[in-house]
Amino acid sequence: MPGCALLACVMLAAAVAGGAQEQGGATLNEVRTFASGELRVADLGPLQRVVVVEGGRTMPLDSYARFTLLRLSGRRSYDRRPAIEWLARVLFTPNETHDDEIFVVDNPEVIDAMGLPSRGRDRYSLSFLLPGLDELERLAEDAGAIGEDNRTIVEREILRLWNNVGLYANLLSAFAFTYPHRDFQVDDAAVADLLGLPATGTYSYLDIALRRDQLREAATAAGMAHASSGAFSRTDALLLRLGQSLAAWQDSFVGLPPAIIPVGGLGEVQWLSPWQALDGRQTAAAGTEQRRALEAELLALRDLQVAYLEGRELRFSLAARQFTDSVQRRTADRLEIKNPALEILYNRANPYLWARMAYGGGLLLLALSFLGFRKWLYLASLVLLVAGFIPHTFGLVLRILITDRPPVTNLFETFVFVGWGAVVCGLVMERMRKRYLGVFSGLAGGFVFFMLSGKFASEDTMPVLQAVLDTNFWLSTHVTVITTGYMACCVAGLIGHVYMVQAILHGRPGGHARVSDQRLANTYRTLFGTLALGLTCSFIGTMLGGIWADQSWGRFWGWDPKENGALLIVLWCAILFHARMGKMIGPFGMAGGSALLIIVVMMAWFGINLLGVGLHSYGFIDGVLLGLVAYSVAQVGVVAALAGWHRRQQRRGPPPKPLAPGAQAAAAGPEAAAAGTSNGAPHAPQDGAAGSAAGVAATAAER
Amino acid sequence: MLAAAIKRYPVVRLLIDLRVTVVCLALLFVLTFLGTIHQIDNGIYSAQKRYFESFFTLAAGFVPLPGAQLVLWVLFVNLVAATIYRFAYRLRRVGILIIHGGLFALFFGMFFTQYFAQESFLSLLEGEGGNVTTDYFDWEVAVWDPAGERRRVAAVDAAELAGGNAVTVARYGLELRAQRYYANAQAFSRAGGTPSQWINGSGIDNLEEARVSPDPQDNFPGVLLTVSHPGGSADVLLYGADVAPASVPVDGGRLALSLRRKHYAMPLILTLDDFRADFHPNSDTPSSFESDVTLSTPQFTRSARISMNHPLRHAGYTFYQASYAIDATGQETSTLAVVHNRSRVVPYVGALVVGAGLAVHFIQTLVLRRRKRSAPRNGADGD
Repeated sequence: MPGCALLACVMLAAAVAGGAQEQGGATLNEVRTFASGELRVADLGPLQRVVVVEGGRTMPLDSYARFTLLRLSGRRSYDRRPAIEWLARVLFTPNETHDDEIFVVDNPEVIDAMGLPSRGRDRYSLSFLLPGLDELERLAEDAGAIGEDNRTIVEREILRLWNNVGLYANLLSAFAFTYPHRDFQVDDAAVADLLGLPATGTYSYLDIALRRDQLREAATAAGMAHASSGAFSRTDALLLRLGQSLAAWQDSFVGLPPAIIPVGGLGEVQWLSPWQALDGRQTAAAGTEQRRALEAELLALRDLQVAYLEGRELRFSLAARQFTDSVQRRTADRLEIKNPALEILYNRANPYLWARMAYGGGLLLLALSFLGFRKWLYLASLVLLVAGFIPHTFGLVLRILITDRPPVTNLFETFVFVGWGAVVCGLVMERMRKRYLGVFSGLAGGFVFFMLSGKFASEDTMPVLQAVLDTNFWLSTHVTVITTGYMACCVAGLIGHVYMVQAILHGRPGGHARVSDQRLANTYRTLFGTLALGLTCSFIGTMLGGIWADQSWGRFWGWDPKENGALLIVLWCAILFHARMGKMIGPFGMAGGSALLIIVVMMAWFGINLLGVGLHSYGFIDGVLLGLVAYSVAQVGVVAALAGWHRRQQRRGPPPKPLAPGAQAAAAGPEAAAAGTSNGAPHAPQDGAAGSAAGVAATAAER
Repeated sequence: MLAAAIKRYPVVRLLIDLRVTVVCLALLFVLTFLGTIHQIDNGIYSAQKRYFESFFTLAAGFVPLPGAQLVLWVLFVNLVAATIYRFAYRLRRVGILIIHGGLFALFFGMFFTQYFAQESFLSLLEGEGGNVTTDYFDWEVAVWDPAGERRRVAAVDAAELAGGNAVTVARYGLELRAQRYYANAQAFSRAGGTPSQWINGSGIDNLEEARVSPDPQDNFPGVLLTVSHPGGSADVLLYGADVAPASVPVDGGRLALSLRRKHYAMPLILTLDDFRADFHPNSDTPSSFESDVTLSTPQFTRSARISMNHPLRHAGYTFYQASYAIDATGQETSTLAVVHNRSRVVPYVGALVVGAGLAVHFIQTLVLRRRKRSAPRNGADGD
């Protein structure tokens, strides 16, 4: 039973690690003593650079640690310390990590079902979960028998937790091959001599597995001797026992991670875990020289373990370097291992976190600027916008270099990229002297999209792509263009809100002092231009998608949900432009329609993905989808309220005209200023148009 | 002028109206949304039939709405009318004109594909060749003479039989009439070998109705047929999942009848020489599939490689890598999607033209606006 094996793994890891540390402790007392769970080696840099294969791609162990921790706990760090420190403790001192609270349980019903006292949605430790693991195994078996599409949210959570416990248990035993264990106790000097061991004593799986050939020879010789003489000596019994232990350990542990040892020939490189490398069958094809190198690498891993236990910095660092250098040297002619330095830099710099903080802070300052210190706070928020833009760009570029891919390959990356686009757009607008508008839309776009990306952080592992997506040409054209379309539409929506508020302020008695005609016209012009950019990019992106589909599946258009989503955006924009041209809506209607466009974009962007999974698996209550629905309702409500307000204002009569000089130029209304962008159609006077606009916006809102 | 004279009619004036455009676009928006939601429970095929390929539809089962086909035709007519009467042919609106010109191509491409394109598939074992492709959805009853040296197949659309009409197969002088047609059926055979009323190749003597799956590829139809020929008639049971044809006695011999997915003959033979699937290291995620094929026509033979995103095109046919299978003996099968569409370039042209038009218009407005803004300073007219 897999569950029993798993429990056995956990227990065994605890036992062997305990044994190892007792043993190590005897020689170690002179050096230093450590508290349980304490990190014993400060500089884990050389360990970070070990290359591992996970999810189909090579990555530094640093990233592996982050992604594993992200999967288990939903975070990329543990206890505010880098993930690699957590991984080092799990690998090298496993029995000291049982109390780490790393299993995030989103649905507390799972803990209840395990018969444990739930603390709600929280992170739990292995020692807390241990009494309920038998029950969890039973639950997981039942849940696994249900078809994937029909599982409830609790059943899915049970399976997720069970798989995560399994992964953790595997990690706990990943270095068990280096621990001396009584299964490999050699108390007969003759056997030690036969196997080439220095003395009698307790050895590790590694020690015996590396002497597999000698053991086999000796056991065969003993068997022949036994056959001729009939006597079965203590030596023979020990040889037999060692052979059995070796086979038993091999069978139990051969599937454990991490895959850090590449073997094999050109084009057929296999990445093995140390356990697999120690299993004679998997490396049978390797030449003598390669096997010798492999052996040295495995011994280096043991050195790494021992150095960690003893807290010897220098020895630890040397062992890690010896391992990575040997792997590099051994595979240099056959395999190009990507330099992990960039990815480690990306992990360490955490650029997106800085960008998000800068945008958030900027938004706060911008809000405060309406209360006072207007100029200074505005400047500060502009500085923060730029300050966020720099790490944001840096992160994007690093990721492109790391993955050799265009910036967008999955949903998580679309948010980051769209946020970046919104910031660029905001900076351009600000450059074109639209005070506040660009800073506001840049900061809001950057910040909101980073927040949204957090909901899809589980995809943030730079994963490999399915064959059909594995094409940089289409990723860099179709995907980039369509996400730029999303960006422009969202920015247009933001500006739409600004315009509606400005129009209402403008219409209030004395409103001209706060929002001049010129400013209103500027906002409308920017809105119109951004919306046009949105339509252009969405259309071109959709058509490129059609061409891609035609290239890979043989049909240009198939009414597939994702295609429909893109079409909805194009149609909504087309409706707005045609309605505006036919004077069915005015500038206020354009603004309201643009605000509602955000809902359409969200639907097309990720709402459709959620719906697809949703109804079958009760995932309909999933946080993101619920948030999307709540947002849509709120958005419609906001637009309807603003439209209603504006309409009432219009009914009461036009606002008093300002008496400022230069008013004549502005008096023609924002529409005249925007004439260049609005297809050159003749324009009705501003007020009349806006009146009908409010009505259309209201009906649009109802829809 | 004729154009002006026609414009007097209210219907024509309505067709030109921009409000019609907006209403149609809004309807298309609603239909697209509904069709997408419909797919969640009913699958893409049902949504296509119900919302996108229909002229009328009932939303949520009771709200009558025009179907996307009707809306698109009205939009098309509206576009034609606008081209004749509404558009202002001026240089500064050249972008808009290009956009709408491109839309013509897109409409044509859409209608052509809708009514003339043919999608099917071809599964080949390594080393195998084929010139007949199979439809994904539609079924036919095929009739042939098993004794003949060359198999001459006559086929009847299953959809025609499903209506209950009598259909004649002129080549073999047969008349087929369905007593009962099942869109999805389960087949049973009675134990003990008691003689059955029905003629069937595998001893099936009873069909029962099964739930029709929203994915038509999961459905296996069945039909209870009366086959009449000059010498008499016979009762035949055909089932879609049944590979063995029914052997029906007719005067002077026997004919084979089979219910199968529609077959299409191609004027070429495609042979699968080799198939390869590559995976990302230590994972089940495929990084590429490739089929090496040989394409033979009476005139010439050439080899080609078909992989994801790299189809093979020949004489209106396009072959795509769709899927593959490896059986227990290691024998590899590659499935190619085959599309016969002579108008496949049209949407490309349309997309290119519309995209170019949008770009031209966008840039033009930017430039015009800049000029306009700087106009007062320069004292020149911006337009």
